[in-house]
Amino acid sequence: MIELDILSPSDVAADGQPTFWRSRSDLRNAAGHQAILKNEFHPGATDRSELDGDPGPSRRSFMKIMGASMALAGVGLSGCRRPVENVLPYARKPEEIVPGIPNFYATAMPMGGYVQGLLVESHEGRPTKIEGNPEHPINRGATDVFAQASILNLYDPDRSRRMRRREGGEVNWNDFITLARTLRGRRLVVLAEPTSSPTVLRLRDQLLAANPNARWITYRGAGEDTVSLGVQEAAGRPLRPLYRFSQAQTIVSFDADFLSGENAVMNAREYAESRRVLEPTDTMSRLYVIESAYTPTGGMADHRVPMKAGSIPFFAAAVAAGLGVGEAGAAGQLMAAHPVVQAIVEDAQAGTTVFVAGPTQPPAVQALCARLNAQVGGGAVQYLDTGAEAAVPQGLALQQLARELGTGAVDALVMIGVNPVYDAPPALRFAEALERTPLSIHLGPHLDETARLATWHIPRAHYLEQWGDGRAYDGTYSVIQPVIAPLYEDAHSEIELLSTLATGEVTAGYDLVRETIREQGLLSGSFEDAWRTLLHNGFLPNTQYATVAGGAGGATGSLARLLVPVEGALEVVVRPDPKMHDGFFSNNAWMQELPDPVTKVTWDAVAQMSAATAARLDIDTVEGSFEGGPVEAGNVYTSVVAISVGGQTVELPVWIQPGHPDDSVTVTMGFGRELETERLIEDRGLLARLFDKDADVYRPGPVANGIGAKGNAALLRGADGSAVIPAAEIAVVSDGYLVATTQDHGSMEGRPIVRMATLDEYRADEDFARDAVEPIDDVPWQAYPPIWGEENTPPADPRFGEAMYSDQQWGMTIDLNACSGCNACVVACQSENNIMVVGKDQVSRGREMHWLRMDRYYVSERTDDPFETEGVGEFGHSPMMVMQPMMCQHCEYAPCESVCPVAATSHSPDGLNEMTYNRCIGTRYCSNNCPYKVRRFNFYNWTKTLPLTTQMAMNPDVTVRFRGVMEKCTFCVQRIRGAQHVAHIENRGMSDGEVQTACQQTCPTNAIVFGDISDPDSRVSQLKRNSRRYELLEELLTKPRLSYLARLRNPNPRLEAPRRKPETVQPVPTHDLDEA
Amino acid sequence: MATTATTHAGRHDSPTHASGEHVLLADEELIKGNLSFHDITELVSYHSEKKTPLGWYLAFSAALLGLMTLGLALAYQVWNGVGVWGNNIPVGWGWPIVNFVWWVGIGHAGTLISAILFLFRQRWRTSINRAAEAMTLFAVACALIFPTFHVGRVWVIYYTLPIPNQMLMWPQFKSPLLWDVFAVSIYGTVSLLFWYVGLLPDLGTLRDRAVAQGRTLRAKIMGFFSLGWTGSNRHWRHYEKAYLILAGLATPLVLSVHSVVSFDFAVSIVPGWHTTIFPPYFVAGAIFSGFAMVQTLMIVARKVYNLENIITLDHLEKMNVIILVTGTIVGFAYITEFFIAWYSGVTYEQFAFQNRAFGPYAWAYWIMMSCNLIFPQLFWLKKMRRSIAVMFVISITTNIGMWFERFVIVTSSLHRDYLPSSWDYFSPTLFDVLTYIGSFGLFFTLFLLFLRFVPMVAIAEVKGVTPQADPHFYHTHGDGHGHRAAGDTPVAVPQVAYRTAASEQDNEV
Repeated sequence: MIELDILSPSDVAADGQPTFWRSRSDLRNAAGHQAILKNEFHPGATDRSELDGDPGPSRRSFMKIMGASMALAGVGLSGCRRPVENVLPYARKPEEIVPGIPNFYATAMPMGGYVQGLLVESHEGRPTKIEGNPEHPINRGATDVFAQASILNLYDPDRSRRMRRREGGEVNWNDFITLARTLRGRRLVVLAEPTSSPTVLRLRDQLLAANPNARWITYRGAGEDTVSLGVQEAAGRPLRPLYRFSQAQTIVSFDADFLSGENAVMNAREYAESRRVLEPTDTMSRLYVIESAYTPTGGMADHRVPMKAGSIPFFAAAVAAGLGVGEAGAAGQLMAAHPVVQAIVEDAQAGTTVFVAGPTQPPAVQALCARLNAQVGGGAVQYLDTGAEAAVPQGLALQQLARELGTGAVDALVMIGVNPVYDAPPALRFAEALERTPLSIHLGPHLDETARLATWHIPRAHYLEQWGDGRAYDGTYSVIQPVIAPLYEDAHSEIELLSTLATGEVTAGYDLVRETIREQGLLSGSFEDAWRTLLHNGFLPNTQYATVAGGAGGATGSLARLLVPVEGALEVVVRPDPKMHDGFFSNNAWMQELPDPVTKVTWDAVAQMSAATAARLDIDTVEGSFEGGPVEAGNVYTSVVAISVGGQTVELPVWIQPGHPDDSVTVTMGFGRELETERLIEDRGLLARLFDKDADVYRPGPVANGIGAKGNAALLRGADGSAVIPAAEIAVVSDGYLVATTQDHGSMEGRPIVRMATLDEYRADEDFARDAVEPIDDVPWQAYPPIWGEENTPPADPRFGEAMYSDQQWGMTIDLNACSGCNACVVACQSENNIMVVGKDQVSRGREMHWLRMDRYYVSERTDDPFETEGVGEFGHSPMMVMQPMMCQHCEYAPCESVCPVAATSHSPDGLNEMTYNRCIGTRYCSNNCPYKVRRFNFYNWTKTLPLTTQMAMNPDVTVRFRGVMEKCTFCVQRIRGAQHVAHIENRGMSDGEVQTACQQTCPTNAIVFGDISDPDSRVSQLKRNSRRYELLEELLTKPRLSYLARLRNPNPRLEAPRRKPETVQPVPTHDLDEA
Repeated sequence: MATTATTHAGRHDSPTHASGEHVLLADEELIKGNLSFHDITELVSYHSEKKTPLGWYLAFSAALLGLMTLGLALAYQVWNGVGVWGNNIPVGWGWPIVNFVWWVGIGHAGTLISAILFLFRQRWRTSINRAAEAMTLFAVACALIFPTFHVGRVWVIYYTLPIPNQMLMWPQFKSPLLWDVFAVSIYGTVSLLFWYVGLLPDLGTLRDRAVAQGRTLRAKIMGFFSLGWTGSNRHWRHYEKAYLILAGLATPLVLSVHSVVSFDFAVSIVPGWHTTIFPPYFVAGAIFSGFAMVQTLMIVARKVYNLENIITLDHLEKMNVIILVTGTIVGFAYITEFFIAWYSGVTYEQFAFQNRAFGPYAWAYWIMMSCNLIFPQLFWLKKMRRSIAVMFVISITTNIGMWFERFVIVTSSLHRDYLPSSWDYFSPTLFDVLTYIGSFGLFFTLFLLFLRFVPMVAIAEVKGVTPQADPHFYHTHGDGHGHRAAGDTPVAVPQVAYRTAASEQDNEV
């Protein structure tokens, strides 16, 4: 209920102001007077018969009878005619809704115990695109890949739609309220996902206060929160590290994929800031990554050391010993001689150094990092006091819970946003324990593994459908504002559930959130005004957690207790998947089709290992295959292995990953899901089955089902839930398993595609990127004249005349030094441009539809063995990895345009290479002639049978393509035209940054810059004048409008002797005849 | 070229030279068996007049089955989308374009034999030109299916035609695909006209025979199609002129159509396609495959239809020589491409050709090299040139090799071009195979109908090259080089009705 600022007599009285009264009884507030006041008329005033004893019908009875007669007459009459249905425009237009013009609402996405600040684009009440909130201190307009994909979770056709009871069938919310009332005082356990929501925490306290027998356990499906435990070990209380990489000169990661893990948006931005080099005089940080799997962070490293996760603590100890931190002891001696240890020690002594340890590392290593940061971090790592209670290892809490559930010590279990049947350690036998629990209530988005065993299941509202709140990673308070009513009536949010459990009453989420704010006094001034401002902004500024002075340096951990890995023992590391996370995104088709940032595998779970390990296990590898496995017909056919740990076995196809440490296997979570859907999947009939080539990935059922069916990596985790299993058995089960990848080839073949140099080489030769190929003309890099220069502007061209579009000339730059390949842009593009998902079979046939793809290449220092499959061990080297976002380059001399027989692809006056879908007949000649191969063809009608709910995710500003037509990146032409129309109506020019493409908008590192290159002062023009700028395949004279900024490395000269020429750049030998 | 009145009957007396010396029929190698005009008429006409043999029905049923396969495969593709084929990104063109170029290439032999050899006075062409031209037409029909149906939206294929429309949109004249549309359709039209004009005298013969046999309906149909041919001097003169003009028109088309088809590749910037050698090399390849296909068909047809005297071993040998020459040209082009790739110094080009010979499609490349360059070298030996078995096998391997040539060009160039990230592999699907097989169904359906209802040998023209057509001994040898027998002295040019324009020119030279 909205409270308006009206003068209330009671409020006024409280403030000592004059009292208003109508009668003496009113003034005295006599008993019974209030009851009289509530009635509009005095008693009996409306009932004539009571008043004077008249036997006739009272006025009320008369009205009743007449009303019934009129209603009957109406029913009778309406039978005579067809009912008239009028389609009417809004009689009163809702404020700010203009059909066709989207609105943007600020909200926040909770995930992993904190929120991201978002702006949601809504078309007539239908959210279609998620963007980062530009003002939010963490997001600053960017999001990670999960936030981008989360909108498809809203429109997931397999979301659970109705409340269910395992026995007893249909139930509704009222039944639940009745149930909640019976739970008062019972032994209740709430197993909840980690949350930062003040409302959830308030309701938790309220629940625990109202019911002394209730308990609250926090459970993260992704695994143990070793970071909290470790920092707690160091500081004595739970603190949260906040890394200010931009202040660091050296960054050391101990198995931490900080560019795509927790708080990735801010980390990536800060990291890119520390590497921003625009002039040769600029400095950049140096990144050391010691990791047990190849991650995007490892790809950004200047020095990457592949190492078994179990060995990394000893590496960290050696670094600490070198820096005189902690009692080094035997642990510190083990790797003291490692050259990289010595290099890190030297660098750390020279300047601000940030140490980050990943979740696979035990709390002792986390504590050690906290101590190191306190000593050499120079304040670059802040420790935030989140005000949370002391963290307990969730493995222990869960073990205890599972035991109690079995014995009947728990009357009721409430599970909020968790799926323990799927991801709890199998040793706990959680499923059996759950079945024995008399009452279990599950709130979740799907009828998943847990929901089916729970006695009650309540569909969970998506965050875009609910009121809520939360705190960002740094503590900034944000409100979750619904953008759409729940798609399914039964869906409820966790705060509605908790409030009902705590009070037995139903309170709207809106009121719960407002109550929290009011209770905690978060808003100052007029509440309603501040509330409205808060909703508009989406967050409250200056509500960050307090920083703890002096960091978290305290006691160092107990490294002595860690066991040195046994030589030759096969280690298994369970990680959250970069796409599925812990399984929350498993049923998200965009995420399933999104290529893994490193392996480029889609629609599958794989077990990554090094080539040497695969060879040792006798896994079928073909000579010359360096990644994935044997390549046949462009697809990877690989062996399936059974990985067994303590009686649990999962079966996964092998993926041979260059740069992976030996004797270690990386498996990721989120596969092997079993969801049940309430969606009606219609039977297609015999004819359709025979003749319709079905193209819809949703047709067979939930998309997550059957993917990595026996590959639930969570099953391998030990009873304590640790991610690193020191020893596992592995055996080949079968051969010839097809893995669908989007990139078969990882080498640049010596071609100048991603151009790269070390910082020293760059300083010595500023023009290294341009010099990589024979220059095609005399234009210096300082100038970037488009072909439509001064003398040849489109307005001067009679074909274009006074076309309003020709004032701007669009161009883009992508800074390869900033891009980590996090994939957020790929999904942002998919969401913005209605890009279809085609499924594993079609991806394996090379028909994926991504307009923007992330090319990944391996670069090796040794040219004789480009992939260095040997010697990648504890002390070995690994190939470098580079990322290159690849989309339509919008060539000024576009090879695609001249070959189209029907002129379906053509050039716009503002320099865009355009596709006219209506005109396209689908000869695919343009794609053949595109040297960048960025065009995508609709081989089937991917949209014909798409579920209705999924269709709601479509952006109405972008055509949904029919089969048989070509499509490709448009530079988000719908956004350009939208902004141009606004500027045109307002009769003004356009300002730089007014148009942002979807990929640019979401990029956390600001690697992508888009704008008007005819404006010499625009950011993109300035970047085009950078000496690192180059155009890909410029020697073909395509004149791309998209330029790349060459990548730089900052290796330690101690580890890498400087070379004269950049090793990866081989010029195209236009004159060298010896190149054969 | 000369012919005689179609009703001419009876056996000539043995011809003699001017010196009175008898001309031995052995001298005249073009047509064997000392056939009279009537023999030739009978020999050819009989096959369209006799009761349809069971063998034809069997063959036709098989062909119809293939045609139905084609229909169903195409219907399935149009209903579902191009995805039923193996095409992908980067290999946007797969089997359909391979098949298109292959069929168009085959369609070269007929018009080449009819037009170019006619202009070059190669009189031996008369025995095979009719069937070869028919083969051309049917091959072009098969070819046209593929570019039409390979597009994503076949129902708007008319956008490629310059039809005035409310959108004020013309096709894009810069695109080689549009040039293709024009080149192939013009070639098809002119070839059809040329073939039909050449048929007129023979249709007249069939009509007259039908009248004689009392088959009224047949006579009416033949009468309709023979356009009132009477064999009058006036008809002959017009006919000869028209034929010469059409031959003149068709000749550049033979060269242009495959040059234009090669532009589809040569105009692009794909390494392995972007090659100036393509037009001549494609034309040579087309002639190569076309002759091989004629060879395949004729070896069978002359046996089945007892035409060994008309289509003699000499004819076959001459075609083998052409196969040898064009095969070697094509092989030379393959090697030149490698040289140019190396010489250009462009890494992308160099890689494209290395990849072609040693990459994932090396198997296809070496099939192509063996079939096109190596096997035809056997024809240097006369014994091989004249061996029916050898030439039949080589005619088949040539067409396999030429199919693989197009496959290698289309697939191996596209599958690995500039950016290694987009590299992929192409594998055909069942529907690729069915469509290709189906196109043979269409081809053989049409060809069997032709064999059944149309004189498969140009009766009038064959008669023109028999010794009997040259009673005054201005004979021309079957090798096309007119010469006089030893001791021959020139006499006055005879004014005979069957003198042809060509022979007129002969004499003027």
